[in-house]
This record gives sequence, structure tokens and C-alpha cells, in this order.
Amino acid sequence: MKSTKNSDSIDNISVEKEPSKYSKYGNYMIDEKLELFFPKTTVLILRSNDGKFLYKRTNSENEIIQKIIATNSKSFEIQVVPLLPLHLPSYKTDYLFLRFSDQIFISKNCSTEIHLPFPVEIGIFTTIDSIDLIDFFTCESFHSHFGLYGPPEEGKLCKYAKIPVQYNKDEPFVYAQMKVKVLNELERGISLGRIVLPATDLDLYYNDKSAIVDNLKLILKNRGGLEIAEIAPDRVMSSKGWAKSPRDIEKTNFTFAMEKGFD
Amino acid sequence: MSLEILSNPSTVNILGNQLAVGSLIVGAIIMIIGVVIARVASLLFKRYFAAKLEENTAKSLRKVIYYGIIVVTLLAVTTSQGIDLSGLMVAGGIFGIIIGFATQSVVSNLISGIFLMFDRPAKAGDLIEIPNIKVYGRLIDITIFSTRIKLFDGSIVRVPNEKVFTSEIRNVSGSEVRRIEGVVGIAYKEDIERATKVIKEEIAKLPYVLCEPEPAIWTEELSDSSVNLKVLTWLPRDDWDYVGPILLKVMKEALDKSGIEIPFPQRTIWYGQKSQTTP
Repeated sequence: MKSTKNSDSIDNISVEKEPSKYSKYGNYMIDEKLELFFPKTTVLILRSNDGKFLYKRTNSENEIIQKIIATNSKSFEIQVVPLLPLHLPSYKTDYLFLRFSDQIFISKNCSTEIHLPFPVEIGIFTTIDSIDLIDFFTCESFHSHFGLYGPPEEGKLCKYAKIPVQYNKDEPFVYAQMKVKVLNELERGISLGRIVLPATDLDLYYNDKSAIVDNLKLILKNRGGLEIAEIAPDRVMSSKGWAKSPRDIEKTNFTFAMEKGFD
Repeated sequence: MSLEILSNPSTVNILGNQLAVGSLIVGAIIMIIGVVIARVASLLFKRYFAAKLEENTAKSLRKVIYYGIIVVTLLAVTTSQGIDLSGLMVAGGIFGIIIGFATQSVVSNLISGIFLMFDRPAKAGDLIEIPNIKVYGRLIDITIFSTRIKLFDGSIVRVPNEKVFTSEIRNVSGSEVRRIEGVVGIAYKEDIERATKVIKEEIAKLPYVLCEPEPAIWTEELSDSSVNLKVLTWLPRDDWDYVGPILLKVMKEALDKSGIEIPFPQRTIWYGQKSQTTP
């Protein structure tokens, strides 16, 4: 994708509310000016007179983030990708706590597949010399919160998001789609009201305005009298049109089970 | 040439013992080898084992290994020279009593330091409070004699280990989250449920306030002029600065915005009236 030439001031920036005009994930080459529109957020990159690039991001609350990007080359390429929702308000944990708006009941010895919205942040990487993160933001400020899984004295701090139990593709840039295969091996039916997972185990993929995340396998089982939910990522097979997002947080391979309840 | 020096028959007197110069040279060589071994052992410990231990424990163990080898080497040297230390022991005993009295607090700090290393009430980087001596800050390290704590004004306070060991220590970094509290008073005429909802909604917007467990609000007191509401919120343990200083401000603004009155202290005074009697 190529940017347009325009001599507008960096101060003239407005937040786009029309979903059809939202930009896409992917690579953008900037010669003079580039404007990107996301829900509640607009990004403007302009070449300044001294050859540097000016970066400005505005959200619906009129908060403005500005940066100067120094580069040796005449043109400048950025990559807009979905990011793991762990950066805002600050990176503190690798774990994500997804609280369902409604509980899902899974009967004894039953398996089911659910498509959940997985909150994402948006990352803007520079691809000039190396892939470096310039900026990141969220289009849903309520996803920038924390929650505790377990009791205060021994709980695990997680990033927190309250999500509906059905993925809605009309909310691009806010959610990626996550397929969760749930298997109940317990001797009773279970109400599932939350999932806690090590998000850094997962990879995100993007295509146009859509994003998906690695699938998840969740097995409800009995371990030594304790009911647990064993969680393991299930890799998405690379398919045509989907590109893998670069990461700025190291990929992990945690062995994790929810041992402190899942209702 | 070197062998000739070692077989030199000339002697020197040390603590009443006649020692050959060659024997002294051997002693010096043993000492040098001992120091080298101590350094190598200390370095090897640092490289291969220290990372698996806590910083303070690793530092202390490294010192114990180093000085332990040095002491053993010194004993080996004196033994190899055939020096009789019994005279020194008697003198040392009397001297030890004098030194013992003089360095009572030093020894006390040393012993307390050793106990603190085993007890491990906190580790370097933890936020601790010692209420007895009114110290609250981040623990830098626990050394043999003292504990160093960095206060929030940037200064570093050195507390003798004896005081730390005998005081109660509150470790704020014990779990991943901590709770903060605030009290706000509303007028008696106001609806408590509404005030609770308004405050809850507003503080839930603060990004460092945990969504689960969610903020709790209850009626703390029916006081003279107001109904006092207590607000308890959880946040990540190191992020007090983002919530603590603004919690009361946020609560007041939320109540102001909703037209809920925060009353001043007030007292209603009733004047008695003289009864009118007919003459």
C-alpha cells in the first residue's frame, strides 16, 4: 500500500466513525503523508521539512500522542498489526483473564467448540532496518485493565477483559477470533464463566481488517480430587492470505492449568 | 637457586618459635595458593550457583566461602610452621573478653544478620515497612551488619540488623496485588445505594484498579455530620502511585458530578424557651 502526497498540517486530524473507512492491517509505504483510521483512533504520519517523519495519534477522548521518527531513507515503511493485549496500561503479566458476559454450561463428558472474541491491541512497527515497535494502542479502553485470578494472597495478576461469548466480526481492531475446543472429562456438568491463559504462548494472524489467534484446547478434568481446566494452545495452520504478526514480547511455552475455579 | 633459598638454615623468631626462612617461604606460597583457591571458588560460585539463589543469600554465601578458605589456609600455614598458638590463645582469651564487651552491638548485629538471612522476611527489591522505627521503602540488601532501605524521597537508610530482626516487618510485596482504602462522607439525606454505584463506576475507570476482585464499598460509620462510606480497591502491588494519590479526588469528583453532597461538620442547636407565667 502506498501513501498519498498531501501538504496538510499535522494538527488537522479527526477521528473516523465510519467503519467502512477503517484502514487495514498490513504494510504501508510513506513518502509524504499517511492517514490511518481505526475505531475511535486516527494515526497520521507526515514527512517534515528536515526529512524526519512526524507521528501523531489521536483518540476519541482527544488524547494526542506525538513522536518524531528519524530515518536515513527517503521513504518509510510501517506495518500495522494486531498485538497481544498485554501492553496497556503497562506490561506487567503474560496472563490474560477473559470474563464471559454469560456462563457456558458444558454437560458431563461433552465437548464443544466456541468462537470467542480475543481482545487485541494494535501495534505499529517500523520495518526500515529492523522490525521495531513504534507505538501501540487499543480501540477499547476498557481492555486496559487488570484482574486477579485466585485469592489476593496467592492469586495471579492478569490482564482483564470482559467479553461476549460469541465472536462478532463487526468489531475489527478490537477483537481477534479465537476458537476454543472445550472438553469436559468431569463426572458432572460445569458452568464456564472465565478463561485464564498465558497469552504470550499465542500468535496472532491478520488478513485485511480481520485477526485471528491460535486456537485453544481446554480440558476440564479431575486431578487428585481437584477440578482443574487444563489449557493448551493449538496452533493455527497457516492458510492463504493470513500473515503472522511480529511480536515484541518473547514467545513462551507455559504449562498452565486453571486450578482456582472457572465459574 | 630457589631450592637453595628453601634449604637456607638461617632462622627468625616468631612468637618464641625459631622458623627457617625457607619454611616461611613455603608458608607464604601456601597462603598465596589459598587466596587464589578462595578467589576461584568464590568466582565459580558466583557464575554457576549465585543465579539460582536470592541476591542477598548468594552474596553472603560467597563471602563465607571466600573467608572460610582464607581461615583454613591460615591455620594450615601456622600448622606447617610448627607455631605453638597456646600462648596466643591465653592472651586471646583475655583480649576476647575485652573485645566482646566493646563490640557487643556489632556481634549482635552480625548474629541478627545471619538469622535474617535464614529467616528471609523480604528479598531485595521488596517494598517493606518497619513500623517500630518508622521506615517504609524498598529493600536494597541485607548485609552482615545492616539492612539498607531506599526511602521514597530517594535517600537510603541503613538500619542495624539487630533492630530489623527484633522489629515486626510488613512486606507489601508478599503477593501480586495490594489493597488501598479511602473513606468519604455523604450527607444523611443522600441515597447510599446511589452514592455507592456512582463511586464504584468512577473508580472502575482507573486502569490500575482491578476489575476482579472488584472495588468494595460499605457504610463504615454513621458519624456526627455524615454517613461515612469506606472504599476498598485492589491494584497491582507496585502501582500504588497511580491510584493512591488520586483515589479520594476521584471519589469527590464522582459525587460532585452526581450532585451528592459531602457535608461539612455541623451541629444543630436547640434553644430552650422560658415558659411564660401569669402574675
